[in-house]
Amino acid sequence: MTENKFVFLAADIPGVFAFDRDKNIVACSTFPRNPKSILGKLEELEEGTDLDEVREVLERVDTENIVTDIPIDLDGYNIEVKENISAKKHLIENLREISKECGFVQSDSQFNRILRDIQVIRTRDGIKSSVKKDRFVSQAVSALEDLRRISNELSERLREWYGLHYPELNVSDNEKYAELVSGLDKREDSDDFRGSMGLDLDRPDTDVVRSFANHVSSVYEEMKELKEYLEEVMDDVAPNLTHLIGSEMAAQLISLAGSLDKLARMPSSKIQLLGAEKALFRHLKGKGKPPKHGIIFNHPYIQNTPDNKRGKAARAIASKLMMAARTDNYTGKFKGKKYKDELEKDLERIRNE
Amino acid sequence: MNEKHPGVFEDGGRFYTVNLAPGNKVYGEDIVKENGEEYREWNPNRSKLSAALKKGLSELPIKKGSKVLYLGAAQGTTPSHVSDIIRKDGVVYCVEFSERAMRDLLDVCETRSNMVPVLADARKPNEYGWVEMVDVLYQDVAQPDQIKILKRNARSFLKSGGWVMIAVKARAIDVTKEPGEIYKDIKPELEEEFEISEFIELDPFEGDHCFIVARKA
Repeated sequence: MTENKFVFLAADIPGVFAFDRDKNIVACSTFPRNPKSILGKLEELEEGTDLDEVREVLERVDTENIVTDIPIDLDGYNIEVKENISAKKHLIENLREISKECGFVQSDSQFNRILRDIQVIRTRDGIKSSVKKDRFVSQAVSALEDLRRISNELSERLREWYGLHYPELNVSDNEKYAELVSGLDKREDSDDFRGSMGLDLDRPDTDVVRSFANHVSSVYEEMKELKEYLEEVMDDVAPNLTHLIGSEMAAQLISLAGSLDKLARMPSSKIQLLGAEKALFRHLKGKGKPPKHGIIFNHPYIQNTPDNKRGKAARAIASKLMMAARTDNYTGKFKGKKYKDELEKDLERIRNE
Repeated sequence: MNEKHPGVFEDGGRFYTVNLAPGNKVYGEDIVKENGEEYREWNPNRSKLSAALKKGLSELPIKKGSKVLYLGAAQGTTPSHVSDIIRKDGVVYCVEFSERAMRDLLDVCETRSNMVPVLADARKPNEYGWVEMVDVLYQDVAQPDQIKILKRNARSFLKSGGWVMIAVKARAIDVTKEPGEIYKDIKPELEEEFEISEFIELDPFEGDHCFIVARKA
């Protein structure tokens, strides 16, 4: 009576291998040493394509009984497909030695290089597939914050500069001021010009200031466009959050958390203090009072609440934000209206307590 | 240049490693050419391992040909010097979870054939279970549970008799405690599985950081 003979088939970076019960290599067929084609072949194997390498190995084996984790089905063989076979584990654990033994590589440095090449490709693909829209949005909201800072600085400069020439120009809104200056040919053209104690200037001097003012105006223009953009995408990315506190603050929360996914994993106490990390750590070190709120401080919900109720209001808002973030991240359903009604009722009660 | 440790050179109080990828800088470091070799300055203010050497680390377990698993590779500043020291026959597996950092790290890996990038969470060694057994496990992750993460990785990937090298950021473990207290707590936790051979505080290069070298029994 002949004993039933089995071989164990497994594949990885160096190629396709057949092992006996004692983990000795009985046959192998190496892949060409090209990272892209190796990844291609491994992918084909996963999909169950019968590669030439597999056929080659099987032809060299003196049995029809095959155990493997590669999902193949070939006529003339008795193939049992199952996961986590020990031959595969053995192959992975000894990848370097086996690669050298079968002639896939000649040296350690050659093995390192091919492994590096393959991991670089896999990592690039991994990054590509995991970058989501919310990351894009958090960049947009950071850009908006940058523009706000820059526009204030530039406006201040413009006022100082043009103020030397026409100090009487009294417009408190920065955006309007820049618009006015850039459109003003001479100060005498201004509607309410009644003489000026400023420096008299000629053409080239007024031109530089006007051109500068023009740039300042365009920064405000850009901000407007960004805000519109944010409103549009935020409705798509996180409709519940957006409905609850507005697109800009919703985007800021996502940006501070790192991503919508991270925000959705946060407890409400952490959401409450996003943006107040400095005050929190100051407090934890034993100095200063504990902060009540992070960036949600700037929301009218808090602003319209009297000082002594703000801590309680902040907790109520944060807990609803947490629910909204989780709804956005995990379900995609819209419950923003319900959350908002509930929150406003809560806040009303807190204010009147 | 005199060789302070195998592969690590010193000249005028500065440390250098021999550039494995001549012509390429990683983080704007100074490059010095001598006897046909290109030396990259190893800035102790940028790299905790360099700071530890500067503060008198007596034995550097990372050597020519070493296999290193590096947890928390970040932008690849320190790993690039590790890559210089181990040369082409050694390998350093660079585990990093942040995609932002990984983008910069990939650029470094592309010029160095012994740096293998691994985009994964060091908390889940199963995600990179294909990594081989290593001589040195290096960890710089600034996480409250970093010792737990270290042990988990050491069990899966560190050869017996292999070394662990860890940078500990006291503020990442508990902001409310004094660094000295935290170091005191860490030691027994490490000694359950390792034998501590060196302990170095990294000030003034890094405040509230220490560096520990230990060996797996």
